[in-house]
Formats: sequence, C-alpha cells, structure tokens
Amino acid sequence: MAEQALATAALLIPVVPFVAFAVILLGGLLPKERGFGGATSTVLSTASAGVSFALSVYVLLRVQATDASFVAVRTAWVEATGAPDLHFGVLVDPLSALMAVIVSLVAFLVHVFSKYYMNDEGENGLPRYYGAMALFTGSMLAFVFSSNLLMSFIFFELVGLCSYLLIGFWYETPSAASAAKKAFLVTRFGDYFFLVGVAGVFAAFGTFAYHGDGSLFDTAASAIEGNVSVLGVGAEMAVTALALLVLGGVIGKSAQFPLHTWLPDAMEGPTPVSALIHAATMVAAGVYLVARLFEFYALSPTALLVVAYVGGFTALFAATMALVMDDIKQVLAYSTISQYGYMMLALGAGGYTAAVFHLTNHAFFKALLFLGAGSVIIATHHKQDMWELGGLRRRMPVTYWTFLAGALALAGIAPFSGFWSKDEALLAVLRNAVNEPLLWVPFGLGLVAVVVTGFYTFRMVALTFHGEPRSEEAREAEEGGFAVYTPLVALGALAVFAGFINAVPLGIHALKTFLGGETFAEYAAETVGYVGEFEPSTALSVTALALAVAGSVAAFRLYAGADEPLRHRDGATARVLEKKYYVDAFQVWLAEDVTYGLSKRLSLFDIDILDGVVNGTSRVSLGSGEAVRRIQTGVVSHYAAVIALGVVGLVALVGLVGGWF
Amino acid sequence: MWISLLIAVPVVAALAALVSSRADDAYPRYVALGGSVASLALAVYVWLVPYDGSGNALLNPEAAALVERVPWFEIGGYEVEYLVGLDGVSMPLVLLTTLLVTAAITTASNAIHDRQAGFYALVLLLESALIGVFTALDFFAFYVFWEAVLIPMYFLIAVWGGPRRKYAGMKFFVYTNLASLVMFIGVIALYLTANVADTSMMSLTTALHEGALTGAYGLSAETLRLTAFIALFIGFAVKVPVVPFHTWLPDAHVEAPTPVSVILAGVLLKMGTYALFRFNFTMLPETAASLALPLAVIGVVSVIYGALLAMAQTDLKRIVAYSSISSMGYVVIGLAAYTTYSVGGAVFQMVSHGLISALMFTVVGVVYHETGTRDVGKLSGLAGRAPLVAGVFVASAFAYMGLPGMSGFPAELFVFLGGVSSTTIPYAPVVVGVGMFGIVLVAGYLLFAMQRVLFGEFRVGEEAAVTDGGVSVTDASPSEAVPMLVLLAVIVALGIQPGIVYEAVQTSTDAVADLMGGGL
Repeated sequence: MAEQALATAALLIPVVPFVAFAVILLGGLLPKERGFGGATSTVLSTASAGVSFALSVYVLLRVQATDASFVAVRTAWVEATGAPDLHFGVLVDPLSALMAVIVSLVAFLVHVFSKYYMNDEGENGLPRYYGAMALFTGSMLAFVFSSNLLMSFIFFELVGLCSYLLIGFWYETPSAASAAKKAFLVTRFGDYFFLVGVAGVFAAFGTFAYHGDGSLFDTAASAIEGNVSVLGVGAEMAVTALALLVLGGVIGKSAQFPLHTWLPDAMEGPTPVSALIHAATMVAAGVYLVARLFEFYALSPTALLVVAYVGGFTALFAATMALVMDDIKQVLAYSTISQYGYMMLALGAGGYTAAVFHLTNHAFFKALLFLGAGSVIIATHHKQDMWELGGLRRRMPVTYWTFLAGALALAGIAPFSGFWSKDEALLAVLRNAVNEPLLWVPFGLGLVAVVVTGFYTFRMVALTFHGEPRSEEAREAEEGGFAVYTPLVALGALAVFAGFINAVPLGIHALKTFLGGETFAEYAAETVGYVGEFEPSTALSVTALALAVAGSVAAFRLYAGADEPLRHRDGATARVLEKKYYVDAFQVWLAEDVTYGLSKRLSLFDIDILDGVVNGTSRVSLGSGEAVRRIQTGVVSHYAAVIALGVVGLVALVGLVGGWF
Repeated sequence: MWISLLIAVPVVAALAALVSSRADDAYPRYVALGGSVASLALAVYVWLVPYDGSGNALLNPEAAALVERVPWFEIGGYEVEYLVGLDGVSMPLVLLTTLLVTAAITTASNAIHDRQAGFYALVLLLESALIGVFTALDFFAFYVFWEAVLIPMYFLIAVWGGPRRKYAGMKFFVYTNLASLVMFIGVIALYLTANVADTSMMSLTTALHEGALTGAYGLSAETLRLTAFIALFIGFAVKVPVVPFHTWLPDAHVEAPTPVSVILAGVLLKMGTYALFRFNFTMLPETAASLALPLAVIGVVSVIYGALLAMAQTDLKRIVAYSSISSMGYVVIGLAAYTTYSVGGAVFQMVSHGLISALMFTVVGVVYHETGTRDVGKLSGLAGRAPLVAGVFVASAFAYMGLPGMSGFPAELFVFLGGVSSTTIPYAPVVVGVGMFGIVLVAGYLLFAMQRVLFGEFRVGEEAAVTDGGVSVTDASPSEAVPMLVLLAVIVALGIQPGIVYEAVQTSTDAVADLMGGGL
C-alpha cells in the first residue's frame, strides 16, 4: 500500500508539469478571445512545479524511511515481436529521489522569481515562456526517474529542445537566436556519440535496464567476468568504448571541454532560465547520467580515468576563463563549467557520494547566484557588465547578503556548502591517486582550480557590490519585492546549511548513508581496484581552505576599490583567456569553413558533374531526336519512343543471351 | 472488393471533378476535397475493420488481407491476374497516401489558380495509381500502376510548375522511365528463368526461395540473380532516390507546386523503397545479404551527401528536397541490415518521413505563399508575424531531426538499434555509426534555416525594417492550418506511440529479417 502510494507519487512528479505544458500548448492554439494569456500560464506552470516539489519531498522521505529502490511503473513503449521490447519505467531510488527534490525545488523557485523577472517587466510571449518552462521541468524530472538508458536518452534530448526554446526566447535578438542554435548543435554533436552508444549497448547486451535482475550493469559485469566477446571485441573493451561514447553526450550537456562552448553563449536567455539550466536541468543532466551509470563506468578503469581527466582539466580550464569575464553572467557561466568539472573529477575517482553531494550543493548555490545576478540585472535595467555596476550592497541588501552566501559556497570557504563537497571530491581523488598515479594530474588541476575559483568569485562580488557605483543605473538601483526575496532567502539558507548533510571532517555521513555511497565505493574497489573507504585528510581540508581564502582575499583587495583603469591592463595571457583559448574560433572554423565549405564544394560537384553528366546525356539524346520532335511534338510520343526503345532493347538482350540469333 | 474500391474512389472523384467544372470553376476543388476525404475515410475504415493481415504477403500468401484475384489475360503461357491484397507494409502506405493526398488537396487553393479541374483530376488519378502500386501482388498489375503514376506526375510538374517546369518535368519523366525499363528487364528476366506458372509476386518469391532459378542463357543462377538484383536496384534506386541517381529530385521539387511536392516527397519516393523491400530484399535475400556492405555504404553516402548538399542550399524547397535524400538513406541502411528492428524501422521510416516531409513542404509552401520567396537569405523574423507558421516550422524541423516525441525518432532509432547489431553488414557498428552522423548535420542545416527565416528582425527581401503596413504577412489560413496541425498530430502520436503503425509493420517485416538470420 505504502509502496503503491510511493509509486504513484513518483510517477506524478514528471507527469504534472507535462500536463501543465499540454494545457498551455492547447490554450495557445485556441483563438485569442477564448485562449488564455500570460497570467494563467504563469499560474499553471508555477503550480505544477510546486506540486512536483511537494510530491518529491514525500518521495524522498518515504525512500529514506523504507530504503526503497525499485522500478515503480514499467510499461512497454515498443512491443517488438522478434526482439526485446523497449520500456518506459519510473526508477525510485535514493539518487532519483534526491535529484527530484533538487530539480523541482529549483524549478519552483525559478518560477517564482520569473514572475518578477518576466511578468513584472511586461515581457511578451509569456505562455511560450511558461509552457517551455513546464516542459523543461517535466522532461528533466522524467530524465531523473528514467529506469533505462534509452529513456534517459529520450528525455536528455527533450531537455536539449527546451534549452533551445528558452535560450532563444528573445528570438528577435539575433544573438539569442544564434546562441540557441549553438546550444542545440553543440550538445547534439555530443548526443550523436551518446546515441551510437545507446545502439551499441543494445547490440552488445540486449538490455537498457538500470535495475533488477539482468540489468545492463549485471549483464556487462558478467560479460567481462566470463570474458565473452561482444561486438567483435572483448567485453571489457566494448564496455570501455560504449562508456566513452555515452560520455560524449555527457560532455555536451554538462559543458565539459571541448564541448563547453555553447554554455557561455546560452547566457542570452532570460536569467531565470540560466539559473534553471545551470543548477538543476540541462547541465546537471550530464553529470547525473554518469552517476546513474556509475556501475557501468566502474567496470572500466580507462573510462573512469577519462572521466577524471575531462573533469579535472575542465575545472581549471573554465575557471581561468572566468577570471577575465566582465559580464556577471559570463563569470557564472564559466564557473558552472568548472564546478561540473569537479563533479566529473570526483566520479572518475570513484567518489560517487562526493559527486552527488557537490551536484546538490552546486544546484542550490548556483541557482542562488544566478537569481541574485538576475535581481541585479533588473534593478539596474539590464546592466550586466560588472564595470558598470559597483556599490550595490547598500541599495540591495537582501541580494547582497544572499549572493555573498552563494559566493562563499562557490569559493569553497568553510562552513558554506561548497567547501564540504569540494573537499570530499578532492579527497576521493587524493586517496585513489596513491594506487593510481595517473590521478595525480587531475588532482593537481583540481587543487589549483580552488585558488582560481576563489579569485574569480570575489572579483565578481567586489566589482558588483563593493566600491562605488560606476553607472547611473547602479546608483539608482531598486531591489525587487517578495518574488525576489523568497527564492533568494530560501536558496541562501541552503547555501549556508546544505553542506552539513555530509560534513566528512566533522564525522557526518548522512548523505553517504542515504545514497548507499558505501556500496558504490566498494563496488569500484572490486571492479577497478579503487579504495573503498576515503579516510578524511585534515591536511587536504586545510590546504584547500587556505587556497580558497587566499584567492578570495587577493581578488577582494584588488577589486573592491577598483576603477576603470584596472580594466585595461590586459597582457598576452588575458588576451588568450578573453579569446577563450580559441576553442570557440576553432569550432566555428570546423562548422563554417570545413563543413559548410565542403557542402558548398559538393554542391558544385552535384550540379556540374553529376547533374552535368545527366544533362549532357539527355542533350545528346534530345539532340538526335530533334528531327523527330519537329514532326511529332508532345511528350506522349517521347514516352512511347522510350518505351519502344526499351522493349526492343529488352528483346534484343534476351534474344542475344538466349542464343536466338 | 475493398481494395478495388480504394483504387476506384479517386478515379470516380477525378471524373466528377472534371464534369463539375462545366458548372462552375470553383466546384472541382470541393469535389476533389470530398473525394480525397472519402478515400481517407475508406482507408481508415478498411484498416480498422476488415483488414486482418497477419504476415508478409509475399512470403505467406495466406497472410495477405482482402485479397482479390481475377484472371486477366494470358501471355506466353503465363497467367496474368488482377491480384491485389494488403499486409503490414502496404496498409500503412495506403493510409499515408490517402492522408497526404487529402492534405495536399486541402492546401492546394493557394498554389493552383489555373485549370483547376485538370489539376485536381490528375492528383486523384495519381492517388489511385499509388494505391494500386502499394496493393498490387501481381507483377504486371504492379507495373501498370507503377507506370500509371508517372503520367499524372509529369503533367502536374510540367503544367502547374514554376518557371523551369518543362525541364524539370522532362527530367523526372525520362529519369524515372528509364529506371522503370531497367527494372522491368530485371524482373522479366527472373520470371523467364524461374519456372513459374503465373506472374504473381508470391509465385516468383516462392520459386526464387526454393531455388527454382537454375542458370539460363549460359549464365549461372548466381550470376543471373546478381544481374537481376542490380537491375532492380538501379530501377528502384532512382525513385528513392539514392545518390548518385538523385539529381532529378531537387529540380522536380523546386518546380513542382506545393501540393505536388507534398505527394512527391511524401509518397512517390516511398514507391522506390517499398519496391526495394518487396523485390530486392524479400525475393533475393541471399544476394542482398551478400551485397549488404555496398548497399549499406550507398545508404550512408546518401545520408551524409544529402545532408551536406542540403546545407549548401538557400532555397527552402531545395533544402527539404536534399534532406529527403538524406532521410531515405536510412531506409536503405535499415533494409540492408536485415534485423528485426532495422527492417521494421526502415518501413516505419517510410511512413514517418512521408508525414514529416509533407508537413515541411506544406509549411514552406505557406511561407512562399505569404512572402513570395523561399530564399532563406531574403527572409527574416517571420516568427513575430506568423507565430503559427513559425511554430509548425519549428515542430516539423525538430521532427526532421528525429527529436523524441515525434515519429522520426522511433523510425531512426529502430534503424540504428537494428543496424548496429546487423550480422549481414561487416563492421556494422562502424558503418551504421558513420551514417548516424546525419543526425548532427540535419540539425545543422535546419537550425540555420530556422534562425534565418523565423528569427531576428522581421524582413522580407529588400524591404528591410518594414513596420506594420509594409509587407503584409499574415498567419496561416484555416485551410493551411488544419492540415498542418493534423499532420503534426499524427507525427506526435506515432512518436509517442509508434505501435499504432509498428504493430502492423512488424508482422510483415519480421519474416523478411528472419530470411537472413534476423536478430535484434
């Protein structure tokens, strides 16, 4: 009975926003007089997120109480007669329950904030906005509860669609339309590999299931154990290849190097959308998928190492670019890329709990920082260049104090949430590096990124909120009301306290116990020889904290009283950073010069050579028929001629071969 | 009775349309609309009620539904019959035909102003011939219908087309007619050597499977099969079209009026893949399997080449035309892979692509009708003026990209799932994996097209920055909106619940996959 209620609740969590989307969509198709406008869609979408959140909390509590882990609903999507069916299912377990709370809570708060950011600003197209938000929330929640790899892919794609629709919300602005296109295209490039992986998994193991007997993980593990050959190669090599293919999708969605380029551009979308994309939906989907597939990745040491390297490198790489950005949203964008790098790093080092922990904390503090930035942007009438802000702490106290809490969490300063999870992530790498020396490199990258993170974070805080206002708008900024305070304060509280759910140095392991992190760590210990238990390291905690504080203080001292001249001190390094290491330029070159250039050249080939041959042939034949045509015009005769010729040819052929002549 | 009725209703409607024009020029359109809706309703009724197909019509003659068999004539000792029937592959294609013809006729009033009676009559005759192609189970009947498709299509392009309509029409005609001849020779060669009593496609299939074909004319059975296979393949490949036999298609599409493009892309191309499925892959499975690698490579090349060509175009119709070539490449890959999912997916892709390309051409037609241009360089920011058109444009583009929730996703997914595990194609994961890159390219050119046409500031041609009252662009009219939304609804329904069609499809495709080992 209790399980039935739990199953129903879990099913409803994604369904409710989908229903809201459908209603808003149908409302949009009605004639204007009978359709409904912004207000109704605002309420529908916001309420659906609220209901999902309430249900998610219920599911989380039940899962914690009962230690549930089961597929609640399982139904065949495609029934095949001669091959395995394809299923849809709702997987209820600690990971999905936790993630559902994160997603629905952030979505709900973003909806509340949107009322301020969108409705109160008199934006047009609100039904489109809220319809897409509802679809976004529903797709992400369905992704979270997916019980198999194919279903994950399906909703992964739908999440991508929603990002496209929302990043390009202001479609009349060319840069927004362009950013939406780029986001979809770059992530689709990653999803291509994911889809090849999906098809490969099916071909290799005949199942997509995450849970139960004969799950994908069990099948793959026993294939490796039995040294079976799949897809023409050894099972372990096949698992490695498939894991890396799926990783393509992860790198795209979670904006890891080298497919990170779409994310800073995606700042063209409305700021609440950025908050949702970065904290709880699109970008989180990639890392969540690796966590979901952890048992699969942990079958291949190579795949895990690649995950760790991608993560470690991205953590530092993106952080350095955040150093030179002037747009407050750009700083946050690069910090998102960098923070997801930490999660990947932790997963690659077997730190399942650490990664999910950081995912949780990051969701809250990043949503907070984006909404804080949104508050600043509206208050200053769309000023985003930090050099035109400054001194806002006096005029916007609620925004300032909550933003500060988020910044301290991001910078990794104790006791704010980010400190605990980043510390645990680095701990997992450190402990495993002893056995796997190759992990020292990503560990080093991650550690250096700590000081960089502190620096760019407090550069942003100092430039935005401290010093003197550097523009008229900043001088006259007015903080919003209830719709701003509620989400900021709620998320601010989480940025302060969420870290204590798993404060390892203090001996708190609540999250690890809940997630069954022990089991995962032991699993990795068995399969790839990682350590099963991460002994806390005071030295590491102190070092990381010292680095974070050093970076933060340095930036604060440098920028708190900053004025214009400091902006133009760029050297060669800064130029490379501002050009984003030329990765963007390289990709544009690949797309425009290489691919489009090739397509133009092929087009010429198609017209001149292929079609030219055809037209040349027909000219000869039509030319020879010129005399005939003068007598018999019209097409039917031509048709008859061709038929007759053909029949003659046929008879001649059959006759020749048959020896009639 | 049912199938003859399906074939006859459009013919009757065509005659009625011609006759009605004597009373009033406006009548043919309504008569044709009524006729096409009646055909659609009849097809849906047949599908829901009397249809009871249970297998593959060629492999198991008992499995075909609603078979009609009437002796026709005798030639050279061969019994020729009017033999028609339906199975899980032909039924969906008949439904597709009647649906798309109805959609085409509904939207035609914007594109067709002259000689309406003739236009609508030809479209209906075309419909009748198409239904004949998909239901015929005797080769001669099949060939008669096959050729009968060409004539109305030729006139529809050459009379009601754009400025270069004569060239495009002639090119279409000569191209596909030559192909028909090559195909005809191939099939006749098989009949002559396979020792059969009648010309039904079942007899030929059975004879070929039982090894009745022994060498003739000094050729070994092996060589004969191979030669016939290649002749058939070339004959049908032109229709699909497969690179390098595709160059008639972009010209035909660009010149054809919108409703004709809808039928051309939506149904005519499927004749090619349908025939490949029936003849090459069902009748000559060993030969097909031995050629699986080259066939799959041809499919992959079509996918990639078509997509790259689509990227280079600036005319919206040419973009969709080339992307059709790309999408049909997946069908060839799916057939060559010979697995349960891939062959079923290939047929599902025929239906899905029929719907999606029809929707895309319809929406492009509306854009053209409203703005007078299809040049992506001259269009900008339509979304603000025509939100419904923009919405359908975006939806059909994402359907083309194979977005989950739309029919293109299960179609391509099935081909990929089956394709990667194929046992006929050597290095299947690699070969099919390369073809799958089409999903990135298609996103590339459609996203670019959407960005230019729909987004940004509103502009048409030189009239930059016109405010209200400048260029008058209105949203889709009901006669455009209704068919578009119906097509979209079907695309979404099949995307969410592919079983609606796939259940029937696989009853006929599994048996074909099983001919060569089957598997996933």
